[in-house]
Amino acid sequence: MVSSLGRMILRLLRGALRLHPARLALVVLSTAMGAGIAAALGSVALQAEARIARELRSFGANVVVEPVAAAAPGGAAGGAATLSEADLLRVLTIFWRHNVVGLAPSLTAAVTLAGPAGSERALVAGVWFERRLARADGGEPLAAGVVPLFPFWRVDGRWPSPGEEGAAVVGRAVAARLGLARGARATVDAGSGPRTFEVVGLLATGGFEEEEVLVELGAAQALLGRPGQVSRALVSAVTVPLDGFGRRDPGGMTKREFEKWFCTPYVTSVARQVEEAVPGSRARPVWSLAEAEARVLSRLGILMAILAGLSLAAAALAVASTFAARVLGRRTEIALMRASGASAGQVVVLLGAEVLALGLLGGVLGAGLAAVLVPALGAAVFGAPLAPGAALAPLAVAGALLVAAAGAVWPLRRALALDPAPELKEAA
Amino acid sequence: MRGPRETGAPFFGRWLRRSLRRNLAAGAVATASLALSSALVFCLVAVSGGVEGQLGKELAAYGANLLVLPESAPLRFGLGALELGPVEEERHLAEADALRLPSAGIGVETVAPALLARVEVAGTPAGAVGYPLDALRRLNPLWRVSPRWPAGEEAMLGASLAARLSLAPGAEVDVATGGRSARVKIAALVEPGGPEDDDLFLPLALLQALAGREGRISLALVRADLASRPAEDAARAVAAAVPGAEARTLSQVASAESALLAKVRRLLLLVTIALGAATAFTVSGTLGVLLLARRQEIGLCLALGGAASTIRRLLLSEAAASGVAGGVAGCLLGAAAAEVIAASVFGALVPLGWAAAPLALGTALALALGAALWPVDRALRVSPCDTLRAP
Repeated sequence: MVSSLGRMILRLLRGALRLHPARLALVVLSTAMGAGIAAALGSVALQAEARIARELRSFGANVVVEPVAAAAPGGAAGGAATLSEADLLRVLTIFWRHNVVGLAPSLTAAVTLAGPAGSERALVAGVWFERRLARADGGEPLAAGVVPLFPFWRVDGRWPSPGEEGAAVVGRAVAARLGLARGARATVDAGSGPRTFEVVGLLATGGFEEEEVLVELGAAQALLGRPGQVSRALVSAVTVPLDGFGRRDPGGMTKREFEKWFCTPYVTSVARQVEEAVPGSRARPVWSLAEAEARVLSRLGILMAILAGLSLAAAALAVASTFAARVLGRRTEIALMRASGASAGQVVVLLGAEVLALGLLGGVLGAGLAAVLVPALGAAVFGAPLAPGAALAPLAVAGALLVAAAGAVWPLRRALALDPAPELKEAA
Repeated sequence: MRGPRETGAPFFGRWLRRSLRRNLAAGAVATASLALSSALVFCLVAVSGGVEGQLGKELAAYGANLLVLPESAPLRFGLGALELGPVEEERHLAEADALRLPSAGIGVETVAPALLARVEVAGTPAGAVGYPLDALRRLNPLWRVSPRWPAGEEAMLGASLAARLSLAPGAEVDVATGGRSARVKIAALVEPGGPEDDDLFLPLALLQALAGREGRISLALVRADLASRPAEDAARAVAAAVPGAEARTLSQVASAESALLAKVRRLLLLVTIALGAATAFTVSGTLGVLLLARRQEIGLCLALGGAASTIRRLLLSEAAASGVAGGVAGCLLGAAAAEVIAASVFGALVPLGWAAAPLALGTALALALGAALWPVDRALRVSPCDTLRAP
C-alpha cells in the first residue's frame, strides 16, 4: 500500500513536471528567493549588532588606565606616579581579553619645543604608533597603538615606522605656529639637553592632540629619563550595552550577582578586570562613551530584530501565498481525484507530498542563495564579509517546508470541502 | 463583424466585473500578496527616512563634533593649561557671535561657549574652564556628574583634579586669578574621561568676571547636524559665521558619526532592495501561478471568438485592479507598520515622507502588470484546442 502510494506520488510529480514545467519552476524559484533572502537578511541583521558594536569603538577608547598615585597631590603634574609599560601587557590576560581591541599607552610631559619660526612650551607624548601584540592563546594579534585606536585621525605625511625613534608627528596647530613642515627638524628640550626629531607627519584631529608632539614611547622615555614608564593608557574593549545591572556598584552585589556581572563584558567589569591585572593602576570607564554606546546599540539592536522579523514574515507570507495559489489552481484536479474514488486523506497525502517536495527543493536552493548573499551583504555594508553561520541551511530549509505546508492547508481544506460534481462541470 | 465591436465596451465591463467576482478567492490571494509587498516598500522607505534623523539625535549624546577657536590660537585644556602656562598673546572671540550660531541656519544644534583660564584653587594652580553649565549639559547629557549638575553660581570639579586637591562635593573653595577671587561651592565631581578631568568647571559668567574678560570666550563647542551635510562643509559654514574664528572638526566624533550613519543608511537600503526583490519575485510567482491556472478559461474565450487583444486587455485590467487595491491597502498597512517600528525603536513617530506612497503604489502596480504580462502572452499563444483538451 505504502509503496503503491509512493509510486503514485512519484507518477503525479513526474506528470506535473512534464505537463507544467513552468508552473513548478515558478513555485520553486519564488520559494527559493523568499527563503534565501529572508534567511540572509535575518542572519545579517542578527550579526549587525556585533559589527556595529565594533564600529562604535572608533568613537574612542572606553577605558582609561591611570596610575593610582596620580591622585596624590602633585602626582600627575609632577610626573612621579607611573605605570610600568611591561605590566600593561597583562591586559591581554584578563577574562575578556578577546574583547580588547585597542591598547594605547602614553607618557606625556611638558617640554620646550623649537622649530624654524620660534619656540614654545608644548606637550610631548610618547606613544605606540602601531604595534601587533600576539595573544598568548593564539588568535588574531591585537593591533595596539594610537593609529588603529583612532582611525579618524588624519596625518599629513606618514606615521613613524615601528622602532623609528628619531621621527615625530607634530600636531597641526603647534606646527603652524612654529613653522614646522614635513621634513623639518624639531628640537625638544625636556631639561636634560636638546634632542632633535625629524617631522614625518602633521596630525589633524580637531582636538587638543593638535597641540602635541607624538614620538615613539621609547624615545620619550629616554628623553624624559623615565625608562619603562607610562603615565596613562587607553583601552578599547567591545562591550555589551550598559543596563541597570551593569550600572550597579559591584561592592553591593551578592556572590552570585558578582559572578554574573564579572562574566558579562560590561564596560564596568572590563575596567575592573584591567585594574586588577595592571599593578598600581586605576581603570575607569569613559562614562559618556559607554552610555552613548549603550543607547545607540540598544536602539539599533531593536531595529535589526524588527528588520529580521519583517523579512521572515514577508517571505513567509509570500511563500505561503505562492503555495496557496498553486493548490487553488488545481481544484479541478482535486475534484477529479475525489470523483474517481480517492479519499480525502489520499488527496492530502498526494498533494502534501508535492507541496513538501517543492518546498524542500525551494528551501535547499534558498539556503544556497543565502550562503552567497550573507558574505556579499556583509561586504557591502560593513566592508568585511560576514560568516553565513552553520544554522542557516537547516533553518532555511525547515522554514521553507513549514511555510509551504502552512500556505497549502487552507486552500486544500477548501478544495476538499467542495462537491466534486459542480467543480468538474464548471471546468468542462 | 460590426456587432461585437459596437457592444465591446459594455461587454468588456460586464466581463471584467464577472471575472473579478468569480475569481474572488484567487484575486484575494493576489491582492493580499501585492498589498504585502507594497506595505513592505512603504514601511522600509518611511523607516529609513526617519531612522537617520533619530539616530543622529542619539549620536548627539557623543557630544560636540565641531570646535570653534580664534584663528591659530593654541588650545590648552586641563593639565596642558596648567603646565604650559598662559599663552603670551591671548586671543578671544565674542560670546555673542558664538551664541548666534544656532539661529544662523547652518545646522548648528547646540553651542557651549567656553573661557579657559589659569586659576588658583585653594592656593593650588589649576586649569579652569567656564561654560554656561546648562548648555554643557545639553551637549554632554551622558557625562557622569555626581551627585547632581551644579545650579546658579556653583562649580564642579574634574575627578583627577578633585583627587589631587582632596576635595569632595559640598566643599567651598576660594578661586583666584589675576588679583580677583571668589568663593564657590563645589556641587559635583565630573569624569569626562579626557584632559578635562583636570579642570575646574565654573559658570561662564563667573569666570569671565574673575578673569576680567566679560563677553569674551576662548572657544566654543558646537554640535552640528551631520546627517545632512559633510563635517568639512559644516565647519566652513560655522567658521564663516563667527568673525575671527576657525572651526575644527573633532574628527573622532564627526567622522565616526558620519561613518556609522553611512553604514546604517547602506544597511537599510540593501535590506529594502533585497526584501523588495524577494517579495517581487515571490509575488510575481504567485500571480503567475494564478494566471497560468486560468489557461482553460482563456482558451475558451479564444475558442468563442474573443479577440486576443480584448482578452489581454481584460486580464491586464484585472491585474491592474488588484495592483491598485493592493497598493492602497499596502500604503495604509505600511504606514501603520512604520509608525509602530519607529515608536518601538526610538520612542518617537517618524514623519511619513511623500516619497513612500507613490513608490509603494508604483511597486504594486508594476508588480501586478509585470507578473501578468508573461503568463498572459503564453496563454494567448497556445492553441485553444490544446488548452481545452481534458488534462
